[in-house]
Amino acid sequence: MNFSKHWPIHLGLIAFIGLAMYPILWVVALAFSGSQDLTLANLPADPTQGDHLAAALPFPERWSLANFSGLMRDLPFLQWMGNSLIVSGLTTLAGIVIACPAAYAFSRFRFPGQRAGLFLFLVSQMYPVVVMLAPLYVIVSEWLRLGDSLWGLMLVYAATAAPFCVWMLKGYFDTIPIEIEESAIMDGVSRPRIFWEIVLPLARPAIAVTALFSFMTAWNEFILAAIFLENQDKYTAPVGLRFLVSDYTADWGYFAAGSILVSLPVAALFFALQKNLV
Amino acid sequence: MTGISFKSVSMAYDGVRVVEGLDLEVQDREFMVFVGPSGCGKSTALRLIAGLERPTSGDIHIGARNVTQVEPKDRDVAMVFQSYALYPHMSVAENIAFGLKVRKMPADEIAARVKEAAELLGLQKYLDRTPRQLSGGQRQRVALGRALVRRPSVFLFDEPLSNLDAELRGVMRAEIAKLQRRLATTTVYVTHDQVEAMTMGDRIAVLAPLDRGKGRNLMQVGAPLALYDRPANVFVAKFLGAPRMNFFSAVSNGDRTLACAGLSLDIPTTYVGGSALAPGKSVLVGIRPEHCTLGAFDGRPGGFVVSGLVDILETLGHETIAYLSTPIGPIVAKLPAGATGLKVGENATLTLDDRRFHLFDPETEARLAERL
Amino acid sequence: MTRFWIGAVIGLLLAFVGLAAQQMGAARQQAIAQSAENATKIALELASAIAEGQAPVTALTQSQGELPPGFRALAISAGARTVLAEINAGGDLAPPRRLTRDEKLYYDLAFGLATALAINVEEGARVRPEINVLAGREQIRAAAPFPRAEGGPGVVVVEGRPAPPSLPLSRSLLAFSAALVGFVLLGRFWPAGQGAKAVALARMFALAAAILGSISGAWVGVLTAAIGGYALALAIASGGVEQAGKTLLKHNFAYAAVSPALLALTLLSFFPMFYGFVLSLTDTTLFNLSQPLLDRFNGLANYGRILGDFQVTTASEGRTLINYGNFYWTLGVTLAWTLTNVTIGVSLGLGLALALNTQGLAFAGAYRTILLLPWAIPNYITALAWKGLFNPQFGAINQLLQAGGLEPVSWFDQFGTAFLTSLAANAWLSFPFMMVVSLGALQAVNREMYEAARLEGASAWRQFWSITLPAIRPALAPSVLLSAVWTFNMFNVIFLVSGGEPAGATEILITQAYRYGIEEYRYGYAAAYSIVIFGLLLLFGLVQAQAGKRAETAR
Repeated sequence: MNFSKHWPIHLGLIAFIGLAMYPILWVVALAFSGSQDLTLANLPADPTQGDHLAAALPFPERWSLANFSGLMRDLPFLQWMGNSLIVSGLTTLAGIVIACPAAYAFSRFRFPGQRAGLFLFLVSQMYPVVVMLAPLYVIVSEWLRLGDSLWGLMLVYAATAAPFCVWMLKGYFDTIPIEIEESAIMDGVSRPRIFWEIVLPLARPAIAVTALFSFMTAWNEFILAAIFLENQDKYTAPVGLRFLVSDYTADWGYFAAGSILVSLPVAALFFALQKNLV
Repeated sequence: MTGISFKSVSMAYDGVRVVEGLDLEVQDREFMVFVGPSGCGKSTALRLIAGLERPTSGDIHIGARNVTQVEPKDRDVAMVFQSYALYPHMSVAENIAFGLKVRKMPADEIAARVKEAAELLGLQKYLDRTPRQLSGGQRQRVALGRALVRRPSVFLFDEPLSNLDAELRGVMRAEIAKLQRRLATTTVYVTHDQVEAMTMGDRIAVLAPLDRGKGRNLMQVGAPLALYDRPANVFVAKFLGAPRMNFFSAVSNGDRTLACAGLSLDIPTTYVGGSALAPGKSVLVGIRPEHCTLGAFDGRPGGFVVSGLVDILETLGHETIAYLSTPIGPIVAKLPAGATGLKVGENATLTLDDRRFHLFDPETEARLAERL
Repeated sequence: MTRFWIGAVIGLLLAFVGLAAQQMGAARQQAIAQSAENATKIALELASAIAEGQAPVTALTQSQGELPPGFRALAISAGARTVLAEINAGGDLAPPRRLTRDEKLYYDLAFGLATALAINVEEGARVRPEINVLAGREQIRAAAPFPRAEGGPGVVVVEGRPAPPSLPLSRSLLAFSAALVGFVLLGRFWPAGQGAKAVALARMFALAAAILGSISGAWVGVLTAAIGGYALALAIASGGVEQAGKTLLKHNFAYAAVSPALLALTLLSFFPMFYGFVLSLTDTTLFNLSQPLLDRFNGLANYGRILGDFQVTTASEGRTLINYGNFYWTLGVTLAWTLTNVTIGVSLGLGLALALNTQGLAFAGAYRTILLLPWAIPNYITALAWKGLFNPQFGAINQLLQAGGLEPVSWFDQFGTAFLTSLAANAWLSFPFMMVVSLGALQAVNREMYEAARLEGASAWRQFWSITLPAIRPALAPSVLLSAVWTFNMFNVIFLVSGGEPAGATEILITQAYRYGIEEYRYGYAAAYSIVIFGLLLLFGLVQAQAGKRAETAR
């Protein structure tokens, strides 16, 4: 641990971090600036170079929580967060509930269609959801009558999360020694009970990680929600944030404050999980 | 009466045949060892008894019952796995009790049985621990406990000692054998280790992979010493004994002697002769390393004397293993500790005890007929 | 062989039934068109009455046309107070009231038509009311605007469900008799022996198809039922169903466990894919959705238009213009986008990983954690923030440029600079992933190899090229490929940062598909576009799998 020994590396890293952190600091400064302007300082009519610099440096002229309180007061932001929470939570629950048995069957049994099924799950992962938007929209809003509803969104999320969950969990189930289950068979335990009492408890850590990942994916999803949800009350947080800085409005202060509130929980989750990332 | 019998059982995985036409009887209360190299179908045979696999054809009986299509849980057998297969999320006590709980046994009886098993295996202190907190030997005991607490009519062991270190293996070997005698329960024990096979079993069944057993798995069944002294074929002869048996080819002269590398040797008197020993017939001769002695054996006619170059000497302390190149081929001899005067790179003379020759047909690899 | 011929005959018959049924569908279609025309007429009449100064409710009561049964008319005057007046077919009149939340649709309709009207006036066109007929699946809605001096625009809406038309008797009879012939033939000529059950089933299905066909006219349903029944019959006859049933029973737990996931996926993933493929063979847009699928069928025309258009540039008045909507331009942009991003991501990630992997570096863990932050933040937030940073007027980047005495840049007005904005945002997003992967790979390299190399006098540069790079390549390759696919599909960044500016020049394939489908309502064309994208991804996957296999065997 010798700081001076590696000083060129430290210098390089700190410079890069400064550069990389600028957008984050800028958003934080906007959030606490108390104004809706993009510039962090008032630009006079004929600004000097110094004025420009002040407008870009990530320090607001005065610190204020007005953007946060305004977000709660003027906009249904808490409801948006709540919607996101409901959709992400239900998506995770549904995804895990349908993925666990499927992953177990794919991992443990040889049955006709097993390989084809797994391959299908892989293919559906490859096919970006955005290009299925039109058919999905028809199915969800016309056939299932779930347009502009959180339920419809949850269904679509769960279906897209399921293949990922199945592959993750199958990978983990593959590592559970089959002898444990055979031993249970010899003990006279039925298949469903083996799954419920032996396999699921053993897979708890993997299920937790998978669940958190699919929660984060749903929490961060933007474009499907933007298309499916029309009513402002039903917006999820991403749609709401986008709404704040669309072509028609530019509430940058609210956007920045909201971004911080939306990012904090997932960033915390992310760092808690980071050792499982790769 | 809970013997086990295989009646022409065959088994294939995805079209690959592993067991073919297996006929075998395990007696009631017997400790039967299935031994053989990997791929010989010994584990498959065990799993067929357990019901974890179903035969492609043939029947399996446990006691008087045909269990071929019976679910594992209804076969009244218990199995100990190589990896122990303990439930990692349950305590030792829960592990042992689980099978009983599943069978809806009253709680007080479960407790009594768990206590009894724990005492028998010396696990009283560990009942509240999880498997992760136990040593290999302790886990092994828990696995044993889980099997015997059910008081099944058959115990099945699938290489239970191969994950233990050498010392512990010796201890557990004796313990399992003792336990089996005490409980007097029919037991099938699978291993690839011939020491375990020789020391533990009442009887041994030597199994071979189908390609090496000429389309059959079962090479020989019998008491350990019977197999060692009188291997029924080349496979068993090679498999049992370390270092393994020496082999060389000879040709029958027709007068109860064999010709080999210009030398002549007598055929042991027990061999019947007949067409297999007709003049000009080839014979495969086997001799165990411990039946080769140093020096020319004087005074007795027919002692087979060969000389050769010493390639390697392994001095083990209580004995010395010598590897020689001789005119009849490489010969390994197990000699007493102070085998004097042997040096690598020099010549040595060995006498092979002709009363201990094993004769095999080189075609069928079967032992030639004997009158005992 | 006989079975084949019988199958062919039955198939033909069933197809005939289907066709007959479709004819009836056409009759229904005609009835809908008739109702739509009526509704439009009434709407126009009401609108002109109101335009002449009558109050909505009065106009409605005095209307000359007769509302078809099941229809109602609405007069909406939008504005600060949006008022709606309603009249039913029976002539019942409801007093004017405020719009409810569910009726926002009408409000939008009023403003939309008013805007269209205003544009017509501005462009000097004749002032002419516009009529929108949305002959949706079952619903008809005709709308006519009326200008109002005070209180904003207004609109008259006539909407309702047309009564099912009575079907021509002759066609029903034709369909029924055709099915009957099929029914009889099936019984007579099916080979004796196995498959008696199958015959019975097939006959039942043929009969059911006939009945359905003669009463409903929903030809798709009939055809599906008939073909399904036929296939089922064949399957039973050949013992397939029995086999399948046995398999299902034998692996009952596995199938039960897989089915919920498979069902969800089938409904919301595979079916949309399939439906997308079907759409890609049609010229479906928002406006002809209600027509029968067969009428919209246009074969491979969409693919021809996407893949067969090689005119990337147009020469105009001595200048060469690029057709930004051309598939090959977008493909080129997408490939450039993927390539540059992956290059930047890998270089940054690997460079940082090498720095962090320095033996005994102080604070390495802290640096790593900070550098992971961009990955932790939802990417749409990142994209929107960068959009703000690049704002030409107030964005921080132009402020910094001006602080340095430089001219501000209009980032989104040229292809190069617009591309750069998305590139910057995505590079910022993607370097942490490559950094983590590279760091993991570097830490797995055996240190003794470096020591051996040092003993042999290899320079640090030499060590990197000859030891580090070959050692980490197997671990890095899958992640690089993965990030290439991610980048290829990185919708959010392009959509939210450059937004395709200028004029669609910086669109990538996936955002372009979105524009065609969602913004231009060209469902068929967008579906074909999506299939092309999927094909490219599949091709990439196959090539990659092949390369992987070759590398494996070479080892």
